[in-house]
Amino acid sequence: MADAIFMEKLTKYYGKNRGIVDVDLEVEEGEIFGFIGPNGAGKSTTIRLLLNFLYPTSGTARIFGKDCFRQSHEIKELTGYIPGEVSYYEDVKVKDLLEYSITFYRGDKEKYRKRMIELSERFDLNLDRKIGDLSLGNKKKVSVVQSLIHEPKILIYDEPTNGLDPLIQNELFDLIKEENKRGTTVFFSSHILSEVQKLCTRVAIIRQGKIVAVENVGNLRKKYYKVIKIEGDIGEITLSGAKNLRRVDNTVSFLFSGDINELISFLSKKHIENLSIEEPSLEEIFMSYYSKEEKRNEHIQMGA
Amino acid sequence: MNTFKWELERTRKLLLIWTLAFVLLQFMYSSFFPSMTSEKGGLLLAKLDMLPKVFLKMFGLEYLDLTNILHYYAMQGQFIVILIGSVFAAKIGATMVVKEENDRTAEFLMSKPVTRKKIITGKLLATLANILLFDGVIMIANLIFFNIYNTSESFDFKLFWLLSLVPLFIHLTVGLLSFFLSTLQRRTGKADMISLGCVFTLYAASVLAKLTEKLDFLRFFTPYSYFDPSNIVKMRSFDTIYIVLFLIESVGFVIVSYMYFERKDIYI
Repeated sequence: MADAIFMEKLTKYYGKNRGIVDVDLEVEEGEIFGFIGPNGAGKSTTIRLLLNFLYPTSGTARIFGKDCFRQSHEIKELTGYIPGEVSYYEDVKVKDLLEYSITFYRGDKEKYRKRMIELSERFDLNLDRKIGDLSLGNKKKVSVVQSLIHEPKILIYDEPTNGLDPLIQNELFDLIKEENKRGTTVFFSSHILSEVQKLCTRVAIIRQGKIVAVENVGNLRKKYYKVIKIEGDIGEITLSGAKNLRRVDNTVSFLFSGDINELISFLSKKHIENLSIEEPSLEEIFMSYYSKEEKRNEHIQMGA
Repeated sequence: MNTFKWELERTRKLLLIWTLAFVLLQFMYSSFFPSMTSEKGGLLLAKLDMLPKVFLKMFGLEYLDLTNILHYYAMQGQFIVILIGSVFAAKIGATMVVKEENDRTAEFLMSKPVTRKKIITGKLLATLANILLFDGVIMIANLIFFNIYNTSESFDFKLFWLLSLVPLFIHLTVGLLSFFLSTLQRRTGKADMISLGCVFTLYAASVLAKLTEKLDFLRFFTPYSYFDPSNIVKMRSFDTIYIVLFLIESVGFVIVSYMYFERKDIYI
């Protein structure tokens, strides 16, 4: 069976500025695929290429076997898209916009209209408000509804949780899972690792326009570590899996990637004044997790 | 043709305001006409005859008989319709495509199953429809007003239609030029400015072509010379070469608009 998304050596330069370079990716049908990287890494560029807002400098991209740059309108019949930043025609009502959206799709319009009403109720979206008067969160809801009305086979979501409050975020995640159960493929970009972990089966990590890793989320968690900060009277740290130890006055901080239970039993024997356990930022992950790879690449570059 | 309908709805208000304003303007001009042919008006005509030839040429008054309502219109009212109407045509054309990128709505539109060709077709038709409606309504209004306020027995219908087509043809050229320029731009403000700049440059070129013999060749490069009301009053017909140029240019702008937009990177 054809991959849901297939990219080979996909490259985009904006003049001399890098967009993405030699991106190879395969997303299987029916999976929820996370696409993470810091801002400016090329997530949106990749997505905009997939949707043919942009033409590539070189390389190929296909969705369900169709060429993204020659059969784009056929692909869009099957896709639901949420942009990173939502902007709509300000002077129209939500309903008008969604009705306009429906006119583009083949298929049963009455069914789509029903779905529009269902989805709007679910997200508590007032169809009679003018788009210009909506808050960012509500505009985002419009884009969620808009992306699902025509029962797409693949959802391409560019940082969809941006600007959504946690409650609605959960609603969205539930919906994504439901859609996925019906067989819908989901391509989900984000710069928040925990979000991707919650939802996705596999993730690709992009950095400076290049894919640095494609991982099962399970594996990622194994290699995944916490940032621990302890204030108090702590002697020697005798934990396996602790690194980057730093000591300032009576504060100790380190990265921990071992067994959490071990950490707890170790800490229980100490007198601690304050403790924080934090998720590492993406940048921190890149620094530790991919430092080897980077060094290798640098060698290659210097050799060339 | 959902995009066409959508665009018409978006531009409806603008079209309505501009058309209404011009119909009122036409009414004003027409209703002044009877006083032109009265005694006092006759005095004005006598005064006009005393003006320098160049001056008359610049305002296209050379061959005009101001006691004829059509000549009167060609001299005065039409100048406003042509030039200020061009601003409308340029504005409609200039924003039609670029506004999607400027307002970041392109992201919505382009994520729908619609080819770029169809997007351009819808927007092109909306531009043409706007200009046709604008000039069409003015045409009909003129027909009515002129016949109400005409002081002479006869009405030269052929000349009326010829004169009525003048602003339409010019506005189509300007509108399509702006439309093309609009596909090149990313920001509405800039597209507006460039299009308006073109309108006034082209107009200035037509005036220069009329006044200076050395710059006579300019008349081939500006629609304002192709369709010059005072010439048309004199000839009672269009010049074939100008019609051909008008068609070539209009079709040309359409073709390059399609070609350029098809390959354009849409930045949002």
